[in-house]
Amino acid sequence: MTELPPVIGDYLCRRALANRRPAYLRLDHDGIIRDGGGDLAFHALSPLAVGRPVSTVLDYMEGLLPLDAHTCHLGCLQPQADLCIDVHIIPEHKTHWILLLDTREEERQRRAMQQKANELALVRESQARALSFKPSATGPEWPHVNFAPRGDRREVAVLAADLRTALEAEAEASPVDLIRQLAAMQRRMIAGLHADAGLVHSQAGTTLVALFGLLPAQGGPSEQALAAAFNLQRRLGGAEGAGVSSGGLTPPALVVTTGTALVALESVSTAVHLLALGPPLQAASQLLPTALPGRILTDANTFGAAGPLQAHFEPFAADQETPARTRYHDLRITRP
Amino acid sequence: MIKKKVCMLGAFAVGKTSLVRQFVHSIFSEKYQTTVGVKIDKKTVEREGEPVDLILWDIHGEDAFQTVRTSYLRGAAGILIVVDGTRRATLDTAFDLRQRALETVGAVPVVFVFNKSDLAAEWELDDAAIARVHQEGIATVKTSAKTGSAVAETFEMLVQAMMGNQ
Repeated sequence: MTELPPVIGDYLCRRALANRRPAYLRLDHDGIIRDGGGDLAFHALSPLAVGRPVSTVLDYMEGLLPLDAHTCHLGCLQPQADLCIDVHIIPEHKTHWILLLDTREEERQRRAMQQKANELALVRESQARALSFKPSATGPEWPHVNFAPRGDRREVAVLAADLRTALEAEAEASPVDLIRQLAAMQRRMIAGLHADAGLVHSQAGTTLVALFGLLPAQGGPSEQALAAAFNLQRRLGGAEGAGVSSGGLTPPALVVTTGTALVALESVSTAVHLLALGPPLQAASQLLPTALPGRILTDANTFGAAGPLQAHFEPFAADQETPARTRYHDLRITRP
Repeated sequence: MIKKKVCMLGAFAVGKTSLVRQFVHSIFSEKYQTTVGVKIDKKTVEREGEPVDLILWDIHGEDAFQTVRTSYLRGAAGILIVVDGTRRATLDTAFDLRQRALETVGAVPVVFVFNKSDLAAEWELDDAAIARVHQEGIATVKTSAKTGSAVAETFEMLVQAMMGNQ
């Protein structure tokens, strides 16, 4: 630990504990309260029940003890409506120390921000679902997209996914089983894309294309699409993923491109369709045959706008011919 | 008195807090309120005439801001993983959480709770999808925190499995 002059250490300590109402308990190795101190009344621990098992005084301690050598931190526990605390459990020989700190203010701030973000995510998901070729019973309604529904030129990112290698790898499987497996995987992919603010543009055979930057979301289109690609990798078992949801199929090859496209919404019968045309879609279809299953391939435009996600890519040259500077592959072991 | 720690897990806005509120307080609110950290609640149930205290850990949903800390799961005797039947992606999150939970606490009973059965017309998950989950050896149940349908039964099912594990 960094050696600090006492005056600095004391200052940091006072700052860290200001408005935190610290209280502590000392337990023996059977979890019996031996003594305590600090602001016990605030934590509803006064008078201190010396001699009683801690789990009979604090319900949330049930099952937590004994700890091995490592400390345990439980953030933002709300044991009652008006209380929010951080609990630190610190083992020392045959003793456990429990430190309780008030975190009501932190919880209030985080909740306000998170509430807005989650509400936005729910709206985005429902709009993406409505736009993805799902007829509505009452006729089409123009969703609240980030462009003029009748037509616009927009900076978008395209995420194209191809499951062709799953077909090749499972050549021996029965066609009906394979089709079912592929359909199930595509459904999972579509749900994941919706959750990440992607709009499905087309689905043909083993290929799925989604556009980013058309629904309200954090970050630019490139960052959104790359984050969605990494999430697909995780969900479907690409790279080092667990493969829990891939149903055993080879995961899709993923391509992300960025550029300006013509976009519009068109209503046909009771459904709303997303129309899109332009260089990023063409670039995606050109790159897709060279992408590897379970990996993400992207172009220079997208890489340039990837922000912190750049660190997870490396230049990629297909067949030793393509200039490496124009394409980038994800690094297998540094997925965000 | 027997005490059992039960953890509620799932993606954000699947209805974990609503299920607990329905089970413990018999109330439901349409208004979505995100959970930060963990809300602790307690409910005493009876099993074979003996009271069992359930210490309910309603753990925040997985979202862009919060990933479930495995320290919350320490000491859990049973886990309910909640899925929103109207949002297919929440099933993927459920599988992901199950994997992490089992790595942390070992083989404790887990039930996949498919919530929002009152919104049947909006469901993205069909019975076949739920059957496939069941085929993987995972207990499943359909609930509605709004109507209370199968909520108490879900906790009873978990208590049964937890006590059977002793």
